[in-house]
Amino acid sequence: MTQKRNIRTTLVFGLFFISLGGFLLHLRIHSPSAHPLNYIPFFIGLVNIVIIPWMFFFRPLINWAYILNGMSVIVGIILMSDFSLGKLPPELSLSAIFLNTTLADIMVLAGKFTVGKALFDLEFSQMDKDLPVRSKFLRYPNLGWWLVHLVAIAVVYAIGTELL
Amino acid sequence: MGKFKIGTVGWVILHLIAIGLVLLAGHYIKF
Repeated sequence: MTQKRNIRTTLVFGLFFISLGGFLLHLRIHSPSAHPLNYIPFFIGLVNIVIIPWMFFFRPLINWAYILNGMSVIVGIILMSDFSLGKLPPELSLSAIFLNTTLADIMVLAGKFTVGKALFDLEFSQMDKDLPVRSKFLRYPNLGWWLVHLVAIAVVYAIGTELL
Repeated sequence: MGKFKIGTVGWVILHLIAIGLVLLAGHYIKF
């Protein structure tokens, strides 16, 4: 086994465990049998456990795995933010934001995104540690591209919520 | 980065579908 393969396997299992943890947390809080909407995180969670981590093992599928992983994170962030914004306590304090919202769950998703990015970079980066990172921040596959999509999808989602 | 091209038409179609789906999600999902 090469070093790269070893790191990749470790990260894939990291992704698997984070996704499984999130899935089980969701299952405990929002059982699909309780409300049809709960099927959304249920099925996205299943895809995140069963399909996406293993796609990272195959070089031709890595772009798709990276995009699916990142987009599922964006969907999770937006939906959980919407969920929290609808249930904010009347007196908003810092501790309420940290302890009584879905911020913790969103942080788990942020970890999932970064593990996916590490897997992507592991495959396509030069392995010379002294090479500088050359990239256009706003272009795929860089972080700026994801931030643009997070904001754009949130805006379109908000338009759907407020105007339609 | 490997081969990963969807073309201009593919890009437009993908974004139109995505915008439609996200609008519908925003409209129907109520917490």
